[in-house]
Amino acid sequence: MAAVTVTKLATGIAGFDQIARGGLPRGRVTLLEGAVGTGKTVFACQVLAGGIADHGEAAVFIACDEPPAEVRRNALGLGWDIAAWEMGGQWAFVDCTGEPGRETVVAGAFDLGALLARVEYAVRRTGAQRLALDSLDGLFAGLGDGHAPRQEVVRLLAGFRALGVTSVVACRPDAGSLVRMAGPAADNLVRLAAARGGHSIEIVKFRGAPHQKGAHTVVVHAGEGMAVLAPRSVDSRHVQRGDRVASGNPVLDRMAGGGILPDSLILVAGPPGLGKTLLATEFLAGGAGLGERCLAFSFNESRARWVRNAAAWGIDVEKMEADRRLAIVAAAPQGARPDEHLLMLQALIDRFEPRRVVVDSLSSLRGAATRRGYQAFAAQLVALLREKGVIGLVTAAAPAAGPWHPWDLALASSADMVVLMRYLEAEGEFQRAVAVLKQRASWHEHGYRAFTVDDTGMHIGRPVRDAGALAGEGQAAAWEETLAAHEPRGVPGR
Amino acid sequence: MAPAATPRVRLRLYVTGGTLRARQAAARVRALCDERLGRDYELVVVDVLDQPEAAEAARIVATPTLVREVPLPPRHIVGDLARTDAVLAGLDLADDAALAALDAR
Repeated sequence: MAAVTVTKLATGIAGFDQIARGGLPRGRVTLLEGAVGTGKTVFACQVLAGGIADHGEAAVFIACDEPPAEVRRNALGLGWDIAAWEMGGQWAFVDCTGEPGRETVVAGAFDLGALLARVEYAVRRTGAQRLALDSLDGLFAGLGDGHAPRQEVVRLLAGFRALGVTSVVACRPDAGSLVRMAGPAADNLVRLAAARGGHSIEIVKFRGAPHQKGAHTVVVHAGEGMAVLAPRSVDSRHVQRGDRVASGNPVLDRMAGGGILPDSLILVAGPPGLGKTLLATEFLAGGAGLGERCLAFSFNESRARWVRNAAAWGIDVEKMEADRRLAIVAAAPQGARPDEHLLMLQALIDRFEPRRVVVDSLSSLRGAATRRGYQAFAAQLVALLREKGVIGLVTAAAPAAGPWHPWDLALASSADMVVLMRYLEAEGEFQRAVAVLKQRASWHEHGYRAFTVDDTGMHIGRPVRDAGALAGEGQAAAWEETLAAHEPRGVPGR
Repeated sequence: MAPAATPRVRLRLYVTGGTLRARQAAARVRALCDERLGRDYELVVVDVLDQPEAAEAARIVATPTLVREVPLPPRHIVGDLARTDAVLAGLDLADDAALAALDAR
């Protein structure tokens, strides 16, 4: 028997089509598994809306949980005018929610012949190519005790396939036997889940079609719907982990055990004005010097000011820009919501395709967000940088009393490398000092080294001995232990 | 005796084609109603394959579905109606005096 060629249908969900290598397999049934509030309805609506808006493909929505009026209202908030599409004959609802006050009893064996007849009628009437059912558990909840005969689930999905439409069938993962029946009967399985700082999406199964594995971060954006933070290139994460990359500062490379790891995420923490932006600029210059493209996302300073500061350190940022090695983009922390900043950063990365990305500084967002919002942003930022396969460097202001702000502990835990900058009282004077607190799965130097800054940049000198009581080697070791205690068990995207 | 001009109970039975299950359901509801209501009811059988728009208007999902349209509130009785007790309860005929007579036989 000849192999069946699977063609893909672009969903219109930014990033999803990338991890799905083109979209959902056309003409097949995709089971969309997710708990309440993980975005199943948004996903389903967006697949249909994308078909109408981008491809002129009509759609049928089988409403079992929320009545059509509510689906219309929620969709309008995401920018989709379903009522207008209904008027234009491009969208039809099959309403299975049942009118209020209706009582239903089950008195014997039944099939879903009426539903299939209605769906077929709606598909023929609109010429629909896309179909969504929201949700399978809601459908059977309306039928007595909610127990579905296996053959009816199988027949329903086969019926959708026979209509030639591409369908998305939502179902709660805790809907017991329903999931066990629908899972094997569906061609594809996509899973939505709550994740730290938001939601994630994973393509678990695409029968006979390629897709990218692993969970990816999902952002839902008012007025635009859902977006998936997809990796820029699939191959970039398969760089050999043993290869080290120059950070841009040779002494820091030695402290880090011989350079930074490719695809790593570096957190640079320290009090304001000590040299975090300088270290970030050297990191960018190091990348540009290797012929890599670099992107700097500045919440602190305007582009012009960054250029002036860099010139004072002897780094010609404008030349890097002229050579198309660097792009500096400044954004006002309060100018947009955190998820809007994130989508902007994703768009910039996709357009500019950098190897290195700097975000300076994350702490500027503290004033614009709640603790939860800030930490969600940080987690999503980490996910984005990892998924794009870039070397990321994020700076964050640290209070005088400790290496990082309590809001940043999770960030420090998920970073591959943590660099701490401090003022130390040592040998009778205040010195600027830098230490590597963490370097994932590898040796790194422990303790501080003093550094100076002049018009040729940052000069890291000898290890600091006899550090004062304020913050000595012992304290640095204690902070390393704190960090180890907060180490996540599984690192996302690895 | 001719059917009552305004029957006490108005029923609609939605089925998919002329299947065995459809014929059984129709026969069962007729037998029950003849016995309990005499001629004081009206039953219309709707094939959803012929009239999908009627199934759409009544929001029918499963077949067979027996809908009691009159009296209100609307009742949906889903299945082949093999469970007589559930059908009678659904139609509010379970506590009819006729039921006692039926049991006595």
